[in-house]
Amino acid sequence: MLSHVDDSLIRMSRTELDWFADRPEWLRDLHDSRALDERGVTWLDQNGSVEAAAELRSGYAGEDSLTGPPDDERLRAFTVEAEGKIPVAVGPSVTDLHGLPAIAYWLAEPGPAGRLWLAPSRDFHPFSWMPLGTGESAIAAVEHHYPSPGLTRVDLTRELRVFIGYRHEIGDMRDLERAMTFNRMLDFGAWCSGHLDDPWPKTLPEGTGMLAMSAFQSDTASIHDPGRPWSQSWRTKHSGSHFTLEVHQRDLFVLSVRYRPSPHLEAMERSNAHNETRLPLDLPPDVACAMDGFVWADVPDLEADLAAAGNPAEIAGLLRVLAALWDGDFDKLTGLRRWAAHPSHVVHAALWDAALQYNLQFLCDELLLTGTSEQLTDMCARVQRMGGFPEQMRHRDAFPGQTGTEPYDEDDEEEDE
Amino acid sequence: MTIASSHWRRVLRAGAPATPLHDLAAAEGWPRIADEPRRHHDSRRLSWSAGAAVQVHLLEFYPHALRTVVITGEEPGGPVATALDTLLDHRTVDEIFADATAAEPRRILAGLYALTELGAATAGDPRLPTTLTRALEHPEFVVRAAALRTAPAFQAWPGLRDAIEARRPLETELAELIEEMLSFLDEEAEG
Repeated sequence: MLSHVDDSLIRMSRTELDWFADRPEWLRDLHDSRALDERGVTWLDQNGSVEAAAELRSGYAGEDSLTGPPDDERLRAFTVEAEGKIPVAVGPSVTDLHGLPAIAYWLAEPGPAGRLWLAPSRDFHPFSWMPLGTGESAIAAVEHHYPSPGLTRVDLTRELRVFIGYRHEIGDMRDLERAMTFNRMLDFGAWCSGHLDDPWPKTLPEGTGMLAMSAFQSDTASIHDPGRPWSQSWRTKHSGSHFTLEVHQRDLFVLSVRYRPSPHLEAMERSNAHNETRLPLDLPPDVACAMDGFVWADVPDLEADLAAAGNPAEIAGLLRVLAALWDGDFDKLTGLRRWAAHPSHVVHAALWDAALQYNLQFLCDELLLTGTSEQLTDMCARVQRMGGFPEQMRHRDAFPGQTGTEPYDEDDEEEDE
Repeated sequence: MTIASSHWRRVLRAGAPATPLHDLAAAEGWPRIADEPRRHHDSRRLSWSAGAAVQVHLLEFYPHALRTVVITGEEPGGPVATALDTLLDHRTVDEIFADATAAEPRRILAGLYALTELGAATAGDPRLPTTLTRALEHPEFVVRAAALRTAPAFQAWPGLRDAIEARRPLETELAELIEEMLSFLDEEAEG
């Protein structure tokens, strides 16, 4: 079932809200001011409201899902979250790479204490709907989200990094890419580490076929930078955040989200409470929705584990994961130096891997100066004799069959044979 | 603007945060104009526009654990440099040379690596030949290796090739690296 709230409804003449029982005064004023109308919002009649509520429920709970029957748990959650929130308007919409719109839904709570809520699309989780207070904050919210911002890396000043698992546990990048295809918060065009920003156009030119898309994907979007961790990125449809999966040390998957701080702190509080997570409150709510289905460990938890760990193997395992999460955090990564004084060669081996992966020459120096195991000393010395670490970021086996990547050196080819 | 070794630059002390620079940029309303992640052999770079032609860059070079702040487009003694000189916890050139000629290997490494960041600021410094020669002859393998690896940063010293050449008959552990550096310097000299 596609959205009932289509263009024909949007083009209808302006609808009054007389049907809304116990309509709060601020909603009357907002409706009368036409401020939202000017920004692409269309008010609903009572039938439209009922249909919109049904669409929101099916969008979240999967009543029209391609992948299976409705999810009872989600239906229950929707019922709880949507209680007392009545759809009053729809629009504007954001469009994805293919030009398909995701229309916004506006809901109001009756009574003098009621507030306005924004569900940026029917796929948005109800506990991530954004409470907007009354009046002007609603207008600001429209201006913040529509059109969806064409943000670049420079605009995305915050980063969230979480560890999502080992490759031997959760599969390779192809498996994750397949899963991301069904992630309704992410746009379709993916890109690899050769691009700092999304190389795809905001919307494909009309008539662009699959062949043209595939050619762009392989010739341009799939280019990797051998000097950076292998990665695949998507932009979120609503906030324009960069949602990136990175492969570290041939085995660790890190989810990195670069984002512009969002003002919708209460939406994230509700999302965190529902999901029992502690994502940053300034994280855009669509990112929290996009992370649905992921299981992750965050830096504070892992750092606490490291502080409490006594077993060298446990310390080593944590250092490997934390080194991946700290990539890009200068103070944290350079702080690895102090672990060189640990007496266990198991810990030294983890440091060695980090030095190799992230070209931490200072750590190699420290391992040599502290006198590690004979084998590690030999390896460190060999690196010194070679003049430093080669680029070790390429992990072809994490991207099986992917075309358009950087060329591989002869050693890789020989290994394949 | 391309960052050159001749531009105003300060190497921050180990462990010194970049927070004062971030705070100044926020207070002055400097727009951020670049944010490039670390590459295997390249620094992470954050850049701000601090005026019509003035840019401020924070470079984080992970291999050597060094933070450097560079200003481009400002005359010497300009207001941005003056402000940053006061705010940043940086190492002076004298301190860096003192480290590079110290006895303790870790201090020498910290000094050598910082000298590579200073570039043109130390090219004609009379302390440079002695510093590099001592590092090349140091009994600690790690120090000698670091001196050889960083040699390309000190090509402005005319005696560099001879100093490395003099180590050729004496150095067994790092013979391969010596040959590599001599070849590199010869190729550079030939243009």
